Amino acid sequence: MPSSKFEWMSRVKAVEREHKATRLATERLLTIASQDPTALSRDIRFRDLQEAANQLEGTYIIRLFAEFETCLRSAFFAMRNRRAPSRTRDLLDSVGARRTIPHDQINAAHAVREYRNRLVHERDDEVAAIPIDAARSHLCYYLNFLPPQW
Amino acid sequence: MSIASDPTQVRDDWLRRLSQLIDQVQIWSEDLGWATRKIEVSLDDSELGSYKAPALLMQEGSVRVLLEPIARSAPGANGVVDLYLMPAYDDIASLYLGSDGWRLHYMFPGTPSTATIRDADSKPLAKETLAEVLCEMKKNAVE
Repeated sequence: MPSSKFEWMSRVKAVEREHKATRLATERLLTIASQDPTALSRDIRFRDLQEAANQLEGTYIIRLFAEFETCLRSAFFAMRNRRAPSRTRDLLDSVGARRTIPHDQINAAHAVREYRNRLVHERDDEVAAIPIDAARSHLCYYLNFLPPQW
Repeated sequence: MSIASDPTQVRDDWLRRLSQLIDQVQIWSEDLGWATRKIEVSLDDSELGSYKAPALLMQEGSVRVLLEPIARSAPGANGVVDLYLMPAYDDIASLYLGSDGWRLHYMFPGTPSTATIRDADSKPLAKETLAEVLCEMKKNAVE
């Protein structure tokens, strides 16, 4: 597991790049399949492909946040020599306080966390959707306050 | 197996080209008044395996830019390196290694906007083209 801030930020960015590639592939296949239904194998329906395209960004935001959270847990353990808080909300606040991260950056990371929770738990609560590029930006800003190595 | 397809040799050749690029960009950006720092990043490649590669952080005032290698292989190119605005990791430009050297893909002012940076106009990488991009970054940060 990496112990460098830049390696973790790079991993978060890599998830966004992967999303772009998968988005392009999915859209190309949707275009082809809409003109030629035989382009899909028997056990894949056009509707399923459409649904995959609709859920794609959310799926990658969940992965994006997973990289971020794993990084924070690793950094927390190295900095405090004890296990990180189990609640992600507490983890963000705790690291934020220790690294004197500005409140705006902590709140932006919380906004991504809340959106991730909405996606994972399929809740209908009033949590604003966040585009993946904005989510990546918020999380990388936060990670930038971690020490270069741990 | 030919020598050229030996993954170790391909990787060493790629790392040599990357080091030359990073060294050159470091000299140019320092000439332009930017502070620089080399760092190491991990790359994971299906053909070349996992390896460490050099990257370059450049900073002028509050503007920080990262030159980061992305992949050795890409359609129509022998290597891709991205330029990001840090710490948000926003895309700025991409460098593609072709038969005529590195080309900088960037939405230069006055050129048509495109869906992706790869589709943007490209210019051969030179001190002047790098200066153009870095100058835009500084201008946008001030505005």
